Amino acid sequence: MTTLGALFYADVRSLVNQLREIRRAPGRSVVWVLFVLFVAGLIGFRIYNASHRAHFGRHIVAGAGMLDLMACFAIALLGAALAFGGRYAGLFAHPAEARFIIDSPAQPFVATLYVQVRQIVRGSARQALGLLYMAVIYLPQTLPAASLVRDLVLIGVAFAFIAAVPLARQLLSPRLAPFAFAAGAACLAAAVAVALRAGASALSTTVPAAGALARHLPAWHPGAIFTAGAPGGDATIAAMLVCTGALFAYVAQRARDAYPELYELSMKRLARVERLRARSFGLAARAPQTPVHRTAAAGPAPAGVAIFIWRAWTEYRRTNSVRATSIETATCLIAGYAVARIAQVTRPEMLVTFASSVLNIAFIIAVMRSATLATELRRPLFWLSGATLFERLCALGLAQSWRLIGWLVLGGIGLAAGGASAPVVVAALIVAPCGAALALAIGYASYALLPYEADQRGPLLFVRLLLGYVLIVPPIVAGIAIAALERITLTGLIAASVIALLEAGVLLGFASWRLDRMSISLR
Amino acid sequence: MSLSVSGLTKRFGGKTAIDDLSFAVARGEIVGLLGPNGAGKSTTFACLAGLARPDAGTIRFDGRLLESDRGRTVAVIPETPDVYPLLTVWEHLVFVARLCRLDAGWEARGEALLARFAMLGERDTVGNALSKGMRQKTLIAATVLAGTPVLLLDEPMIGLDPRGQRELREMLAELRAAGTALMISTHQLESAEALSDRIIVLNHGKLVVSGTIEELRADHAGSLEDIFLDLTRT
Repeated sequence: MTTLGALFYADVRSLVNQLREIRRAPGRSVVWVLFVLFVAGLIGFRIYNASHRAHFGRHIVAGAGMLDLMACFAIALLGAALAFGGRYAGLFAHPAEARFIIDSPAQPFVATLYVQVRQIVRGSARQALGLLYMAVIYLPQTLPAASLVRDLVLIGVAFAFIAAVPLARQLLSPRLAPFAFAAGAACLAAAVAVALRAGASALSTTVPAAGALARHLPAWHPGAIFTAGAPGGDATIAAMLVCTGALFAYVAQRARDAYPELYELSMKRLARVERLRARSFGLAARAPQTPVHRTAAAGPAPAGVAIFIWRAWTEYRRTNSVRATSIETATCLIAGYAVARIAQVTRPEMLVTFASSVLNIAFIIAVMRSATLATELRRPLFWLSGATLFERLCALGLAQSWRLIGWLVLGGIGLAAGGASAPVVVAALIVAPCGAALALAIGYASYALLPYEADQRGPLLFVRLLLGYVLIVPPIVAGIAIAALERITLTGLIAASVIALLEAGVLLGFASWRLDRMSISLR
Repeated sequence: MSLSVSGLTKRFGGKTAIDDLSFAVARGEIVGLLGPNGAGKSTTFACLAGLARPDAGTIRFDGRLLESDRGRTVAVIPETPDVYPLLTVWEHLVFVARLCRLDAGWEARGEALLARFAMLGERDTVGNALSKGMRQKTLIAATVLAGTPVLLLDEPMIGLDPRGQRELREMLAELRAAGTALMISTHQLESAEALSDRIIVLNHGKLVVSGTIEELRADHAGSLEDIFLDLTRT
């Protein structure tokens, strides 16, 4: 068996064994079947909608330049990858694979090419599902099915191209690095121009200065090759595929001489991914490698499970300077204030679009916090003391979400300062934090339901979405009903918050019950 | 007797990891748990520590059935020293002391533990910056500080330097003298022989033999290694 054959054999057997594992547990099999049906249903629903030109009420979003903004995001990613390489660039999936390939008599070109293609295919599976979901929600519903497929392929190829850049960039000769940096800077500048233009166009009817700015910014941007439509689409796909292939070939061609560098990059990536999984909360969680003075620790430590919150606070202080915290606080306050002021001069649908986007992001952040639960449970110190698992999960949930809740509360204060109406301020100060708690509990409960790594790449997303959208209905319905009955919006908002908290409590109870019955590996 | 296990059985799918296991560990006793790879040692520890739910059997401490609050009774030190990456060594002790609501004298005990493991110089170093051995020492110090009456150690000597190993041996002897029930799972037979009052050998999830070294030698010829290989031949 050749090295390539051995690699392929290992990948196929891993997949088959995972499927066997799933088949052994009837519950997991059912969830996987439901997940596949969900994906098929999503595609079928979209095609049906396209063929019947059904109205789905999302034209506001599409009309507001959402496609331009998506293209802008892709250009910014490409620019960052070109300019700086990428902290998550790596070739080998794990140390054993690296040793196997490096020690084998295989042609480095072929083996490296295979590994790169496999990484892209594996890495893009989850993103592809995300894209499908985005396509259902955001792309114009009158788009024919064939165009939709072409658009999705285009986006997929674009992301594959962008994903191939960082590794090649890391291996680039130092003499060529300035050119790559310049190209990356140009892409970032173009992305900023697109974002500015989209924002200015959206505000042009209500803010005169924004209209003037929109007129002065060029209409064409590099992202237009993504959004130009069908005629250019095929050529763009072909061009990007060629570019992606060229990048893969470049890395593969350099592989033999660059194995030490590729190994080091891969190990760094693995360490970063591990750190990302393990971190409690935060955007910059690189641990200081030098001794820390005791004065840097947080204040008095509380007794009992509240120590989990103290731990999160200590970790936060260790990884965030006072300046970073001040900037974060000011950003939330200013954002809230700006939204309140803009809302007074713009159309309500703009505000609804913005608010729903922010809430969606907050929801995703809160739900994803559950990804660190597995790491927590593996730590033996977590299990010390006589506290129940429910108490531990409640404390851990608070420890993992206090920062997000802080952002929402600060945003609420900014809204109040900007003159937003009382219900809006209450929604930001009370309802949104309660919603964040509910989202976190959904994350814990869905993890407890599907704790296996293979499931987390597939149906866990589906279960989270399903639970999220089902459980968000009772607070909304109850809130609206009570507000209508009492004729006081505030009462409705408070009722919605209480129901969201109750649901969160039930979900945490379920998660602790289920985790208590599972076998947890400390390895 | 303090810790008593009766009819413990744990299955993973169709595979029986431990099968009708019964034994007891007295207060002030060190029991060495031996067995080849896959014999069920780690699963036994997981069941005792409440990390795996047995399919059958009971686990009692001083006659009381151990429920989900067993964290105050049983502590486990796993083979992989998984510490909090952003907490310092001392903060690990603070964490455990406050979580377990230890009395006011814990700080002095914590200092003494760090001194024994020659870790006073590392007390303000974060977990991420510690070597594997230092992480192991941190975890042992934090777990010993919690003062649970039952302590389970999975390959505790791996990763420790010779001085650390000696300190740990002495510490375990002190814990035994103080009345702690200790179980040590290891493949290092010399270490098990030197530390343990009694040996339990598992094979294919079943208890093969339980007794003191002298009792084992009375029934089987040769060194502990010979006895172990003989008992776990199949």
